[in-house]
Amino acid sequence: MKKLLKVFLIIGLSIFLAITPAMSAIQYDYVTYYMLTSEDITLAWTNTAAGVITFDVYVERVEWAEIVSKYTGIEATEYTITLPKAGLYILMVRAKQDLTSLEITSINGMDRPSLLQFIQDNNIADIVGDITELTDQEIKDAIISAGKASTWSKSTTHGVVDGADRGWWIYGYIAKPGPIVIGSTRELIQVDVIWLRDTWANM
Amino acid sequence: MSKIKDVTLSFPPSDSTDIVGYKLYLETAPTEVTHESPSHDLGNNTSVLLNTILGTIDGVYNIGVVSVDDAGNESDFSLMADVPLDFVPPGPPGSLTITLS
Repeated sequence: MKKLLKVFLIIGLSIFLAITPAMSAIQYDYVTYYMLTSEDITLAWTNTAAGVITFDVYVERVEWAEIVSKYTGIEATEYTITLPKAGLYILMVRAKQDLTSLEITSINGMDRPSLLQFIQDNNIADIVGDITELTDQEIKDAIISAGKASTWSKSTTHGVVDGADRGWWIYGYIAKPGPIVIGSTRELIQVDVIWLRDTWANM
Repeated sequence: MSKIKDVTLSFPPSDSTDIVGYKLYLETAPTEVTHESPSHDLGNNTSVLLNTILGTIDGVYNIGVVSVDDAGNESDFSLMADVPLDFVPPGPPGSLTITLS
């Protein structure tokens, strides 16, 4: 019994020692970039695919686990946005491509399970939307309209942002008011009187 | 009857688009203004008559203003430090005398 306990202890300790450095590595590989919600932020990426490609940039609000902004059909390899509100965000980008005539012919010959597989393989489930109520032909039309998409590259993905081996969160905070001015009503009235006097003199 | 001078605090609005109001924070110097300092909701106003907040309490104040968004987040402070505010009017002149020559 004692031997068994010893074995368990050794195994447990080994697992703990193996996991601890990995956890700390994850923690230190992420950086939060702070910016005002009124500031511009430019997300840039490289195009790794051939052919006519457009890109989608989505903005995910981390606290709500929700996509709050979608920018689609971007032809450049960079895009400038402002964050909609204060909060923690992830920026994500994917490449999109129209289907070739050969692929369209192939899709028109597919049965429902193959169509579902195509949607999954080409990352277009969110573009095609809910298909449970659609006929096979409607699904084919939706797929042909959606095209093909890559998986998402996220700002939190290692090595994607700034070429550094780390990911970025973006935290937006609201802009403060302008500089405070303190004055007295009497001084304001004085200004009005001077303005009146000058205006009168120029009439 | 004495007359107390009106002292107005004003500031340009925030550049952010989802601002629903502003808050004024006050501390008596040298205490620094923080988000835990006594505060006054300014609503959408970008100016306020300090007399209505401070009454006639003279002192040297540290003043901070923040913008507030629709989620209740507050911005950094726009600060003004060591502001002498004098609301108490001077005492009246002493007994008047008239000397005939």
